[in-house]
Amino acid sequence: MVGYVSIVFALLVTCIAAFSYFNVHLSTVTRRSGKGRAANVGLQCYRLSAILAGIAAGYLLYLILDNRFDYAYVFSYSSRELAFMYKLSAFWAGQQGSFMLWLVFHVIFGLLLSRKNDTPPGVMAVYSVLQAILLIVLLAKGPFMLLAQPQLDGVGLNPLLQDFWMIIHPPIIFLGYAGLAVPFAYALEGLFSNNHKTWMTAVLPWALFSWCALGAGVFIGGFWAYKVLGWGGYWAWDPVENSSLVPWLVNGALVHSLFWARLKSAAIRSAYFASIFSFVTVLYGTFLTRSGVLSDFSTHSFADEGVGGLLAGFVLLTIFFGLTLLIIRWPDLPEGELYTRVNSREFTLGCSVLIFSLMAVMVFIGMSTPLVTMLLGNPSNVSESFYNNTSLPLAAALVMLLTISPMFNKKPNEAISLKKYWWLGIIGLLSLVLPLKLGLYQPMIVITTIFSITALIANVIIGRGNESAASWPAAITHAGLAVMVIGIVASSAANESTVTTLNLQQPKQILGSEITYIGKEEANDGSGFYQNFIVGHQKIEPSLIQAFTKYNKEGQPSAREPAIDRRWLADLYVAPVMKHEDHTATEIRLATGEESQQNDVIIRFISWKMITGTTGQEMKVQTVFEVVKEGRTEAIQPELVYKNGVVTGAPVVVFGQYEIVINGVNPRDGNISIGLLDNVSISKSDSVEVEISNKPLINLVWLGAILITFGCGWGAINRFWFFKRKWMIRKRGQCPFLGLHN
Amino acid sequence: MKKRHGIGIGIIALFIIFSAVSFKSSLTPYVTFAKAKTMSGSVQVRGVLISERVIMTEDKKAITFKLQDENGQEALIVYKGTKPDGIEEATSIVAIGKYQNDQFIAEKLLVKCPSKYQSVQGSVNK
Repeated sequence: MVGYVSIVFALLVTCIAAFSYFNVHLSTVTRRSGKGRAANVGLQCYRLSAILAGIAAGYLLYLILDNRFDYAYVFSYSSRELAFMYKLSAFWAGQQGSFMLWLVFHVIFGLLLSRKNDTPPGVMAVYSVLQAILLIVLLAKGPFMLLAQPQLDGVGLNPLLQDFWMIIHPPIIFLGYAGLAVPFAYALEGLFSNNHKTWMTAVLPWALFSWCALGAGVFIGGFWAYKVLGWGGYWAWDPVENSSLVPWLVNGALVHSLFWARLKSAAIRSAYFASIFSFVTVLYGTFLTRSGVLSDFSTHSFADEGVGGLLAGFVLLTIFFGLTLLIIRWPDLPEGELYTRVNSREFTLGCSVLIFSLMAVMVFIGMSTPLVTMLLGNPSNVSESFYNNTSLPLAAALVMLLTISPMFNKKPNEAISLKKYWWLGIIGLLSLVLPLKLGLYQPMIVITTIFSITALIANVIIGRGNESAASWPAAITHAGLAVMVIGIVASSAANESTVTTLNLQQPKQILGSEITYIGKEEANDGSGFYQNFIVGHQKIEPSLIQAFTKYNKEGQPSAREPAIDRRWLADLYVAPVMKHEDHTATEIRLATGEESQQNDVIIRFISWKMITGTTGQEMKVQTVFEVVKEGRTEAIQPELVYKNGVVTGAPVVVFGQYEIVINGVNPRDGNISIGLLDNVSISKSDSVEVEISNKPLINLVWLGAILITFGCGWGAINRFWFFKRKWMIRKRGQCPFLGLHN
Repeated sequence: MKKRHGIGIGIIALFIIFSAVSFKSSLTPYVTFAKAKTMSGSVQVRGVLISERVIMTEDKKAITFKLQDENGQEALIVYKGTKPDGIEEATSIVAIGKYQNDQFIAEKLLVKCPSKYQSVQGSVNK
């Protein structure tokens, strides 16, 4: 009750705030004066809405911590025995709660904006409207629904999500989502008021901040997938991943557009486009992943939770308003050349915007294919090859640009020394060693690798410094991207993988390592079990690695974390396949009269005959098998029944140990396919089926991610007014990297 | 200046053509088994598991099982890869691949598990 009512009232006062801010905006645009009372009304209403949103969020938190399982949301995502940290993360584990978290961040940023004296009222008006959108979504499907029958305990948090990285991943992503509302609001205000330059300075710190947060969120999601999901990779071009990647790419285009527009005012159009679309793609991604339209195309389970139509409407609304304003103002926007010379900073900036945009468009097309083809009546999806094929040349172009860009980060009219070019060429040639050593010969991959190495060195050595126009944060971010691209290319192109069975205590040579399965042990707290492996390498101490399988509430194995032997230069990734718990049978193909030896049993296929039923709709295959074990022989007669278009074969148990089922018969040659399941070896569990892969240089992916996040974050902090005012200004004299852009 | 623009536009146009070709070849339509048999490219078929068990082939390099599509037609799926989690309990399975020699060779499987985390019934708004 409290939560629902506060959302209703928050929506009401947000609308009033938007309205009064808009009124002030109109009067300032027309008369350039007369803020006064109306602005105050807007500010007070906005603050009231923030308080109400805070009450709603606080109430949800209270409900979760107080184990109120009469609420559907608490029941679905929390449970009594859940640890405090996971209870906290239950707040944003579900869709309704994650919108609530988004709203909380939105409101916090809104308060920061509204406190700032020079924030134009038009910005607050647009920002309030965006807040109203979030509130409407929360009203349509909020976390404050009561269950018809109160429950004593909740379902609990999905075991896969009970992980440190999954606690912090959603808040970080939503920080980025919320942050991108600011550039959108400023862009619309700039277009409204026909004042196209001042807004960009205010937007830059927010754009950098969101870029940092979105990037960190995307990277953490990838790291979690690698560490916890056990499908061997960190990226699968899944719609959920893409829905954060596209805003991140557009955000990249936005950041570079803002720098570009400082040099060439014709590039302001690009900044407007990127500002509008960075927020639109956030909404669009949310719509795609929450509306259920992708439910047949993604491994993630999505159900339509009733907000799909609403979100689609808001996506169209924001596109419509943004683009209409831009088109109306198009003739008024500054004109001129986008760059003067090719060997200039504005040219490389423009190219980076182009590459980021093309990447965003490609991923956008890929992730939208299911929706678009469904609307056209012939639902289809694109396979991962589309994403991989299109992103590789763009990544190659990006690292090439990254290699040459430090050359042009000079202050205007300064000569570029040719000597440095020569150095870079030599470095590029030397770096050919790496792809060749990894056995990579595909031209595109070789090009990408050598250019990223060269780019790394170029950015570290000449990418910054007193004579450079680019700051330390930019150099770190660029170097980080180069490092990451090396890691991505090397770890995926030189990835080796194999599936094998490891018997207890029997070492096996796989991918240059000696791996021994040394058994399974239950976790002390009963939360799951470990499978232990010893990995030995040449010249390195053997190490113990553990794969951990968590139990769900019913005590069934559910979330499986792979065992990873982490080394500096390569990871050995051991993902148990767990045939035992899954009761996977072995398939045996036999011709009549043939026999097959399976461990200690012999299975002999004696004969078969087909019996056709009276109607012809029914058919039966009768077979005779002999099973021999330790000198004893038993005959069994499993059957295969075809009825009304359905084929069924009931398993037959022999020696109280083996289950035999017929999978199919080829009537032409009498060949038969059976499945054999050994129930005793299941309980003994003395072997384990594993997928083992060797991933060279994967640590560079994480290192690059850390550098990019750090660089963007630093860049944002340098430019936020509330950091500057307090301690940055005093220090400015000592820090060569501060204020160079201002 | 004009010439340079031409080069730039040419590169972008080449990239777009390349992307379009790549898009076309990686497009996998949603079809039934009947349709899949007639198509040469990669397709996706959604269905339910009707085998008693998911069988691992003798060399342990692949798993096979039977899938029944929406029209009630069934096919043997061969998937070269490790067995996806929860396949036996799946409410539906999407197999992505090609039909060859009376078998559907899957390159990828999407397993839709019953989402017990969202099984809230009879909720009322208050």
